[in-house]
Amino acid sequence: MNINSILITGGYGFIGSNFIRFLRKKLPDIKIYNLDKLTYAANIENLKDFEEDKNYIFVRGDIKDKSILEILYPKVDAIVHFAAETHVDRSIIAPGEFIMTEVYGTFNMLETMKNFKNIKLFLHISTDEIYGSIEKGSFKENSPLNPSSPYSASKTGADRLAYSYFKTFGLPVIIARPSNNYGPYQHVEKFIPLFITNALDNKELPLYGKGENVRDWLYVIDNCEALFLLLEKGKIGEAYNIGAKNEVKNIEIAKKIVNILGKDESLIKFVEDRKGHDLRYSVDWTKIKKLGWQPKKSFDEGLKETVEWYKNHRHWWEKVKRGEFSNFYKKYYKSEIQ
Amino acid sequence: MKALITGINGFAGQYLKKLLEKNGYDVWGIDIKTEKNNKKIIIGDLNNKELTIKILNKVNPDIIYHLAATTSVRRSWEIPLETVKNNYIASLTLIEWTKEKNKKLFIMGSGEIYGNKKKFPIKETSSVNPLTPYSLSKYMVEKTAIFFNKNFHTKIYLSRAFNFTGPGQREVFVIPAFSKQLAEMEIGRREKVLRVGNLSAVRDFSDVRDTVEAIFLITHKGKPGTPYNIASGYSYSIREILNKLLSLVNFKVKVVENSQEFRKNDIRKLEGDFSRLKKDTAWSPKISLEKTLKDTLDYWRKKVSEG
Repeated sequence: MNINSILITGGYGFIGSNFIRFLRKKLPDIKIYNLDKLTYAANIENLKDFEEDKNYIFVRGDIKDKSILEILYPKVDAIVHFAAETHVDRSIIAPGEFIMTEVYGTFNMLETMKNFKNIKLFLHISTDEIYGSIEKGSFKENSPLNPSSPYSASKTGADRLAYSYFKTFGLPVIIARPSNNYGPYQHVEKFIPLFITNALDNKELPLYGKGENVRDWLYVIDNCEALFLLLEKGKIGEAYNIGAKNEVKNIEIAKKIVNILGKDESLIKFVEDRKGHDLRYSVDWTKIKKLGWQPKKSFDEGLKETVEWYKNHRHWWEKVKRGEFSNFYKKYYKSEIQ
Repeated sequence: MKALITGINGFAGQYLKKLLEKNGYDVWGIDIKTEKNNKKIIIGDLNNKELTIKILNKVNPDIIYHLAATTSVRRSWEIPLETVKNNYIASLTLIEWTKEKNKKLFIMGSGEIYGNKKKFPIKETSSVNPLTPYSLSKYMVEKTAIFFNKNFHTKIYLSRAFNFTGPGQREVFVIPAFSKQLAEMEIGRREKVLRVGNLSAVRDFSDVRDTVEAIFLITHKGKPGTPYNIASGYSYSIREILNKLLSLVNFKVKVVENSQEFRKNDIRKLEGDFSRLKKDTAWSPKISLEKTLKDTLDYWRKKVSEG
């Protein structure tokens, strides 16, 4: 697909900002519009070096605001829709925001797109969490969806809405369902960055339950490559799982982080499990493999690089930790800490 | 309810008039000049105290919205003393009349009074440091109003508005200036070269329609004697704004930067925190800058093609 101009939503978030950086390397001349509401999860510093880039335009706005979409849509050939509320813990405290952003926001984006035939692709970023937990084996793209948190339920709504706009209205939609991402620029409220930064400061590492939960960890750059491949070669109307074969228990990750940093395992502290915590996610990504993608980074390598990145970017995450996040942290892990 | 707007024919004045009328107000106005033949808009110079008081007594409004001022920072450097004197004396007359008649008064202030800051967004509680004749006059007026509120129980409502723009703003201001030139280029009336001044300044722009909504809410739900920031809470450099405008037209423009255009004591960055206003009046900005720019450009497209 030939792209001259692209709209990225949520481009100041973790995956969005990594994708914009990746895209700029691959396509140095295209115009990139980044529509971001700048909620707590966004960080302007993620793309500080783009300030001088004349073909990068930041648009502060909300995907729920139709008037802003109507101004941006005539200018772009493709859309990659990352914008979402993403933290499962927050979806348990305040589910309303998730429904509004994921479901209504995605609806608004799709509905507005009906009038813009110039847009050749809507790449919707979904998640592997919509399948729910699985004890053995892996989910395929046509497996039943069984979300279990307000977050994954609202992401399921968005995923199926995107599909329905393909099926019902013929919009050029592709759906990506990546597994848990990790890497540079991830918000410190998330598991791996939280543990790295706490360990760096010799603070306790609050591990949910017994640390038996298993995720298939995908390095964010590998994910960006997969998404870029879908932009170029994905088939309209299809969903694609993106995974890594890096199934690791949380307790193992905690230990790896402590060991890389040369700290003591006594920093790890078990806390009461998250409500409805899914035990294991696993997706079968044969479909995208057939298109010509596979992850390059091993988990140990990726984790080491990520630890290194957080070590070298203290100013980046200290700011975030001092701010609003600390209130959330206290509320959530209140009794367990200190 | 009867309202009187000073500077009613100005940019914000016209929008506020519409909003007040929509809310059932009988709206009168004073302006230094008027093209409209409207008995409710009275020609008058606020520096003429006697005439001003005569008009106020005759109209006898329940509330005065004081928007008239020498608002251009550039102009305020050309006539510094006149700017300070005019803005201050005019406000004093209004404060005095309001005090005597026990009426309400709203005074338009400016976010410029904060001067150069290090921490953003700027809260009302942070210190002020006026750097231009314009902001100095705004600061003096605000201080005087607070003094009167404290000692004489007047009902003076105060604001510190950060930049606002939209369709209808005069082209001495940056966004209409760019928009007008782009509209002229589009129909071949101007060479596709844009000469610009200081693009590195960073400003917090609201849409004028959001700004007058805030003014209305301050006088209905706000506390007298408390300055409220009116701001979007986010700032862009003028360079970014120009880039956004350029992406709204379908032709290439050569941009020529001219550092001579730098203004004296220019503030590097302004970004206002509107949480006090939100807390007391439930106001929050509704119009994105993208829409403001598009509407402004469309306004100039229409205007340029008509004349």
